[in-house]
Amino acid sequence: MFSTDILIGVSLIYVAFLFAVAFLAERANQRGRAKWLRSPLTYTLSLSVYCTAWTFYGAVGFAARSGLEFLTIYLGPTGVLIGWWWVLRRLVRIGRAERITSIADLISSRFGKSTSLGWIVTVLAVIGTTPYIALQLQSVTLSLAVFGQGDGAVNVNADATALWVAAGLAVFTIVFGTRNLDVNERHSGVVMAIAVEAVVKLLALLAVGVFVVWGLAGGIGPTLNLIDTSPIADWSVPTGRWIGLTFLSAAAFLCLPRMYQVLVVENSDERHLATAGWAFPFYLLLMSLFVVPIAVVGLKMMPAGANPDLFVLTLPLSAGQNELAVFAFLGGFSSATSMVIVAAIALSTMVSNHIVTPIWLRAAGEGATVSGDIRSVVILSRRLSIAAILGLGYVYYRLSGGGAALAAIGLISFAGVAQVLPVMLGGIFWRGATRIGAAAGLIAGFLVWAYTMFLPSVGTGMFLSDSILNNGLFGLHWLKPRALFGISDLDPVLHAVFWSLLINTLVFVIGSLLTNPTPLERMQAFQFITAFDSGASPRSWRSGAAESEDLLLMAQRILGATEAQKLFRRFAQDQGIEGYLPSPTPAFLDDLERALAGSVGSATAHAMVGQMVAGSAVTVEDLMAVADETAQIMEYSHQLETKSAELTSTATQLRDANEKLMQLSVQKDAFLSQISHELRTPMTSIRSFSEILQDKGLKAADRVKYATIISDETQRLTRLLDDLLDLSVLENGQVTLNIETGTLGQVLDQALAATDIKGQVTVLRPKSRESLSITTDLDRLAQVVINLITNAAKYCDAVKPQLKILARETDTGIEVDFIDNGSGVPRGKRDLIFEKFARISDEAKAGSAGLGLAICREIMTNLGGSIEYLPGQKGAAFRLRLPHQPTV
Amino acid sequence: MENTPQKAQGQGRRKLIEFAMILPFGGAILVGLPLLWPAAGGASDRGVSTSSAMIYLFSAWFVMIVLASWLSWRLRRYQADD
Repeated sequence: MFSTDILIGVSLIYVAFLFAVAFLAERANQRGRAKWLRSPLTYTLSLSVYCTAWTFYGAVGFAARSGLEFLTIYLGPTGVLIGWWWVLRRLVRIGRAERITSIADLISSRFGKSTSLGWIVTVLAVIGTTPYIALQLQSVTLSLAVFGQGDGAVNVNADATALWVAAGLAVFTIVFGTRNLDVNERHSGVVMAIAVEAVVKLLALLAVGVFVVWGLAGGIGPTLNLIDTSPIADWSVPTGRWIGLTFLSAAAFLCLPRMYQVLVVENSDERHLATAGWAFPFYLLLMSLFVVPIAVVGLKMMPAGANPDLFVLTLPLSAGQNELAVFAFLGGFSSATSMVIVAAIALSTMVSNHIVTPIWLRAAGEGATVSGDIRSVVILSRRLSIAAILGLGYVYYRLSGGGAALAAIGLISFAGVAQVLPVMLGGIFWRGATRIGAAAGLIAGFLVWAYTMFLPSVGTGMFLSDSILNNGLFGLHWLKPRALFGISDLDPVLHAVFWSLLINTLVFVIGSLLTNPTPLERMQAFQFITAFDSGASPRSWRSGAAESEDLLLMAQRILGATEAQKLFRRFAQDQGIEGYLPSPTPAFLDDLERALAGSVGSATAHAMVGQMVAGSAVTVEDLMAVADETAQIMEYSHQLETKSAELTSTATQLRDANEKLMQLSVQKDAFLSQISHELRTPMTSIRSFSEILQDKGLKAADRVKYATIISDETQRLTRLLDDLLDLSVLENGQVTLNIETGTLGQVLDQALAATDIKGQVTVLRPKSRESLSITTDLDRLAQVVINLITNAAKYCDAVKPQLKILARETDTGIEVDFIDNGSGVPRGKRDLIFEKFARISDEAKAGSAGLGLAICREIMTNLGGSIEYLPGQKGAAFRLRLPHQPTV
Repeated sequence: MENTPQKAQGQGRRKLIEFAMILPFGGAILVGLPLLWPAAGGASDRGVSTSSAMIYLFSAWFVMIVLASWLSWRLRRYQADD
């Protein structure tokens, strides 16, 4: 026979080889030279994690017990893949578009990112998968023991082997499955190793098959004869099991966490599905091609009590083909390890994303919003989960004692995970499915499965007593675990699958009909169900890049561009950053979320900001789409609001205008009386003094005095009339400007020289900015300045009047402020001071007719600039604005 | 007769997709057929033998694979044209 030591050595070399393959693939991927890693062939081969040790060894046993029925396990997945256009394509599209990381994430994400649903599916998956992992450990130890039997001297310690295998697999999975937190959750190294293992197990099974058919049976004809004379010669497959098991395996193919991992998560190109659609069924066909011959030959040639589950190994061994047996062992080893590795990765992702991280986030409280420290926690939790899952598998293996036939455990596991099917299909096809319905359906299906299948399988007395098994729960006959509602003729597997899925589906549907989805659920349902209608190709969103900008884009669609920009600018200013993009600090995100919540509600805002920052399932584009929808509705209501606001503001404007007109009219009356007074006063004195001058008996000195008075008064009249004329020219835009270039200082000097304000007001001029060069009509500008200075001299009521003249350059031109330290212009009069005929105070001072500021305004307008009253400066303050170049 | 190339291509693609959607049902019928065969110990003395059932099932399976691969090849050609 064969030494177990050599066998273990071969296994270790094989494992080292797998390590190397995984390592090289990972490195090639990092260097971007991994095109072949993402080929349709690799994808197809990676799907072979479906074929576990159960398939490798167990199918032969299955066939030896019940003939061609074993084919159902392969026909189900074949149907799913040949019909990939229906479900798989949709699953892959959704998975890629929504960045789904696992089957639990799919369900959770579809139903409004429900934490509890993710939790339920994860627990279900762990419970459903643990027996399956135990099964793989069992198959490895069993196959090792087969070699040990002949050895005689070495007695293989089965428990120790299982432990070593579990530990080794844990190390491999941790090394290649959790090396980094990939955005896409893809593991190129692992996938490559699995593809290699797929080839090994296929070749191994084919080699054994070829050897059995041509080496032992003597060719195809004799093999067929052998089949027809064997215990399984007749086609006698029960209809129910044929249909039921095919359906079950199809369901499991879609719902098994490891299958979701390779089908969707590790998928790098949707088009690979089309290839896998025929290539993987072909792989399955080859895997099952020799199963019946091996079973039949084994039944004939091996001793009566031999375990048919191990014919793949025992047949070559008994024929002395040790090398072939070792190859077959490696095939079985590959089947077991690839399944365990992928299942552990898939489950650890689920456990860490849906159980550990939420708990950790809750425990860590507010500080957890910083994204940096979550990653290390996630990786650590994944590593621990992998170890825990394999540990659980080992414990189950020890507890179950490795007694039951392989096929039975496999089917129990299949039925357990198939409970996800109704919710999964409902989630991607039915918009009305709700979170509560999904949770209720899952729990109901899970309970029925556990009661009718899982617990009885563990053995009577462990969880379910004999009395419950035989008489039903609480002694109710219709609650017998294997004959629910009195249906006792059904095959136990079929019975459990039928009732669990039926009740699951019913509860799910009724629950969904009775409850209403939350907004987030609606949004997710829309995304899932219209995955293809939008015509969008798989989107890519790289996290980390331009996060603030993405946030701004989103906020703009919800709050409107101006509002959002204002908000962001404010945040940026608070952070001391120029522009519109503040760094996404927790404080900023909190504020932003609050701002968004005002528009879309707090839950959505939370999810939106959370997703944008954490960068998981929902992509930015998806949020944009939702934001767009929201924005449309909001815009409509906004339009209505705007219209009503417009009406209100028009009314207000009319009222204001009316008031202004009234005021102006009053002012005008006042002005008319003023101007008549102004004209009348000099006219009166001119008339009376010229009459006096007509008197003959005047002294020469008096005559000169009176003539001077007449002259002065005439000048005053002329000035008044000049002003009116000037204003009229300016208003009509008929003024000709004399554009020159000079400095601001010159203009101020010129203006100060032209005014006689010595002692009346102190002018303060910080000269640093006065060298500013200006191109405009300097004389006209000086006229404005003169006016402002004389105004200050006239109206400043401070004890020590001061006038500050401050200049600065802005983006658009030059600003010059004239600020005095008086009491300023009363608020109510500010609107009027630039109007013609306006007066700040009723008393006429220094012969002013209230035209100065009106002229100033007209001049500034003609120069392309403006003059305005600057509020909030204590005294009266005016700001002149001039463009760099006149706009003429 | 007035079909433009794009139109013809669109139609061809739609036909292919319809074919892809119908294919699994054809497969289900092929695989379900053996259920109608007489079982051993029934009215006739012997039912269908396992060997013939096996040959039938594997042939049906293989036909499905060939059809699916032809479909995949045609679809890929359409996608490559896009």
